[in-house]
Amino acid sequence: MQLWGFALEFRAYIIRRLALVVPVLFGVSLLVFALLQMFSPVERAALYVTDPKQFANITEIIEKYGLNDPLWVQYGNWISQIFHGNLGWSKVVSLPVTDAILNFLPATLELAIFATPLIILGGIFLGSKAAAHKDKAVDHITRAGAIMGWSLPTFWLGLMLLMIFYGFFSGLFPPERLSTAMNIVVHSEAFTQYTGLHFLDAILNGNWQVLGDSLRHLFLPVITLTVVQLAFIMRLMRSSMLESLGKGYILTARAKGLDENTVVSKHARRNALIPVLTIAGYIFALLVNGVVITETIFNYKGLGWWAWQSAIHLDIPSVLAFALFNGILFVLTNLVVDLLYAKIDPRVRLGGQAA
Amino acid sequence: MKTKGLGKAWLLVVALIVAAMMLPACAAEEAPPLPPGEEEEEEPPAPEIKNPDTFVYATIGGPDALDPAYSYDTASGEVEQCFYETLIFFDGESTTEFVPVLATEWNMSEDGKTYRFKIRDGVKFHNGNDLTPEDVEYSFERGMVQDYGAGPQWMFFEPFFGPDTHSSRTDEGLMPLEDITSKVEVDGQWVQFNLFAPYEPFLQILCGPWGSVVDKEWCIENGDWDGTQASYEALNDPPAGGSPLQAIANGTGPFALERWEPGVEISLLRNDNYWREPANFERLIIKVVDEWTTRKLMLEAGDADHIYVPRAHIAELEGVEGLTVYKDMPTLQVDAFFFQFAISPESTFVGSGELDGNGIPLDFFTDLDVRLGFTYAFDWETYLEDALMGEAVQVGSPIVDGLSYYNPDQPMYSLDLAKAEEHLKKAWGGQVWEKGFTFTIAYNAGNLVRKTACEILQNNLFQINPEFKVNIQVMQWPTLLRGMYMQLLPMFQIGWLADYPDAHNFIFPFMHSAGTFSGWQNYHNPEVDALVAQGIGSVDPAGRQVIYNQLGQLYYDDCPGIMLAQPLGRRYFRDWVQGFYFNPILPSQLGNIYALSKSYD
Repeated sequence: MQLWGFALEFRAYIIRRLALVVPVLFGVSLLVFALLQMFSPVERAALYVTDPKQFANITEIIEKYGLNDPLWVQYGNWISQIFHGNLGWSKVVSLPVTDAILNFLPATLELAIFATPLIILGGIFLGSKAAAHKDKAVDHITRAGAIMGWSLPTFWLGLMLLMIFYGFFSGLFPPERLSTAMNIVVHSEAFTQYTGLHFLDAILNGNWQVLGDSLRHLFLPVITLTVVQLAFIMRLMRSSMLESLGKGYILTARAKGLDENTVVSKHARRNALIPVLTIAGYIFALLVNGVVITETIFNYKGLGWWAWQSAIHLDIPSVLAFALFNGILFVLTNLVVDLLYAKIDPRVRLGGQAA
Repeated sequence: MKTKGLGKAWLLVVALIVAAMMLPACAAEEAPPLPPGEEEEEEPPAPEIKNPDTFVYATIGGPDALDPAYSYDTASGEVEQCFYETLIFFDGESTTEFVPVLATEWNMSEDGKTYRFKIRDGVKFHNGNDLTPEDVEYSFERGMVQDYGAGPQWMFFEPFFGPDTHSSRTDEGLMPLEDITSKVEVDGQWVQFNLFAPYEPFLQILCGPWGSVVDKEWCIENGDWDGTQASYEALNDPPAGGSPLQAIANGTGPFALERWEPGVEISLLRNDNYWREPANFERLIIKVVDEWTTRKLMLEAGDADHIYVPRAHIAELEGVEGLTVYKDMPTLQVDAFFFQFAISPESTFVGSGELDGNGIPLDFFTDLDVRLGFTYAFDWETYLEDALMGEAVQVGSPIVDGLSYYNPDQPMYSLDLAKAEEHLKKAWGGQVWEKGFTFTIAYNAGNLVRKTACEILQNNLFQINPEFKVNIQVMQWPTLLRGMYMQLLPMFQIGWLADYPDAHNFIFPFMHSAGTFSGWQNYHNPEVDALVAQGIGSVDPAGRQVIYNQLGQLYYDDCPGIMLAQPLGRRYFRDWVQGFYFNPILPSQLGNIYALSKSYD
């Protein structure tokens, strides 16, 4: 009975949270739409006029895409297209928007799948080490390292890594997603692309050469992301951990005679994780969102690259679709984070029954 | 205990990953076993060619579409000329001599209004279909039927329908289908084109990607124009991405489409059933690599055989080993400053809008002395050296070196601050000199060449008279476009790239009152318009030369803009790439891709 009741409540909670997606998406799309209207019709037509030779047709283009129509007419047209399952045309990559998202998502997911655990677990590990050894050498070294990583501009670090590990050590860790030869293998008939995630497809196809090649290409971008992002989690974990180490129950635990390891990893760390978890969810969402500079430098083209190109070219359907994607992504991530809170902290009860 | 177990598992995973990463490296290094008796060879090994059967080219933008009648960018034209072929093509480096391709012979009627081409027998499309004269007829009609608004079809409307028609969409609605279909006719193995009037550049236009021949049967199968009026109406001026041939290709050319990942790369596979010798490598891969350093490292590593090198970075490739560099090739493009003869009253770039020292009147540039004063204040020497690294030549008229009817004796201005002062003292009855002026010019973000040009003008005018104040503003392309289109900008700077290598292709946009740039800047000169019409209507080369020389002189005298420079091109290849030659009108950086090979002999 108890279990059943809990499950029901749990399901209702998830559904309620998921239902939130609708108003969020409506708000986001309206906001983006309104902002885009700050550009004149000619500016929005510029997407189709990249060469002076096409100048003569601007009036035709403005009319054809309804860029001069009142805001609500344009919004209404867009919404009705959405309900017909048509997200529009992504001019910057010459693909339907839906295809563009599906094409660019796998590369971004690959980066996120490898970078997120490294960033979060690494940050938690280093943060708690630093806190446990406050003001000792470990603490100073990790803190200095973190600040350095955090302050490095991504483009500088990425280019340096590339120059060293691709330029100097000739071809050791190359840019792009696969080598020319492996790319041909992946697109051959003998290889099935189940997910578009090359490392995963390689495992599913049992092709270890492709797997190795994929991991080799993932190495530098993942390292770049980790070095730059790790510091945030680490510093947060350290301060959160210090706070929790100062609490009375830690004193009690120590007084009980528990060994330091148990005190730190069982009692202090678990309590310190809550603020970290919020940020971790946020970092994961940001990574899935795409990382423009890393994707560009390593020519590891994902959603970030596509969204950036769309934004600078005022590619309206793409920008709107990306905003919607973001809306869904953040609602889902927040939901997962909330559920994890409940798992970590028994005080968090669902449905507002906090003790 | 638990953590220790986990640690071991992690170690195992890491070890596996490292091992997997080494796998391809080992596989690559594993030398094939030597046959007995051949192990100790003294000869130095020939330098190794990376990916000998694949040509990799890394650049900054990919094709817009694969339909040759629709797309109008060089990145699309580049691949289209691998998939598809034209009736005739430019002979090597020449822009006026032609060689037969899908046509074996051709002729022009005496009045210059009819062209006839005999279609080659025994040519097959990639899908196995035979090339027929009907395919040729269909290809040109289909292009005009589709007539994408921002596409290249205007180049055919002008010769077929006369100088005032540039589109199938007229004031009375869509032009009748018969008007289009009557322009191209099949006669046995021959195809005939019926022109409105003599049009000398017609053969050059046929060599462009828009002159490609497609497979009629295959097009109709894929939902393209089926010859009916209904289909004409449905397909005319499709929205972006709306062409049925947007992402597929089936031509007669040396390469077939293997795979296109827009924004990432396009892969072309050799056509082994090509009617000539098959191409020299199996695959051509064109990658979009936005970041310069990444492209450079790829070239250095040999992972790319050719990359796009922006002029600002040429110093970084000095002394890099294993490269072949081609230099000083005059490209068919030119940049200019345009004076706006009738600035829009809505402009916010004219200060007070009056000649009171704090602005300029909207008709400021209608005074020839203002235009001449500004022109004499421009310093080409500094511009060529600082902005273009000395890799460009000054031009005096829109007809640049390499176009038919280029005039090597074209008069040109040069920096002369005394003359600039003289003209500006006379301008507007002396008021300009007395009161000074203030206005704003703009350049598009990231274009350092245009920025330098703005700064030169700003500095020199200020030097002549400290009351001459020019502000410089940086704009994103959409904003700049709006500024030009709405005629808000008092002066704008932009360039033109050739569609076909005839003087008309440059004179019209720069000088005719309906031209792209001259139209925007509201420049009208009836004498010019008459000469432009006369120039294109003549097939007598000597007569045309006289006309275009006159137009060049008029550009000098009228000074509707400051002609800047024609850039000289450079190409960087790995030294194992052979067969490159420069023809300025080819859309590809690689020139004629079919002529390239990867080898050391």
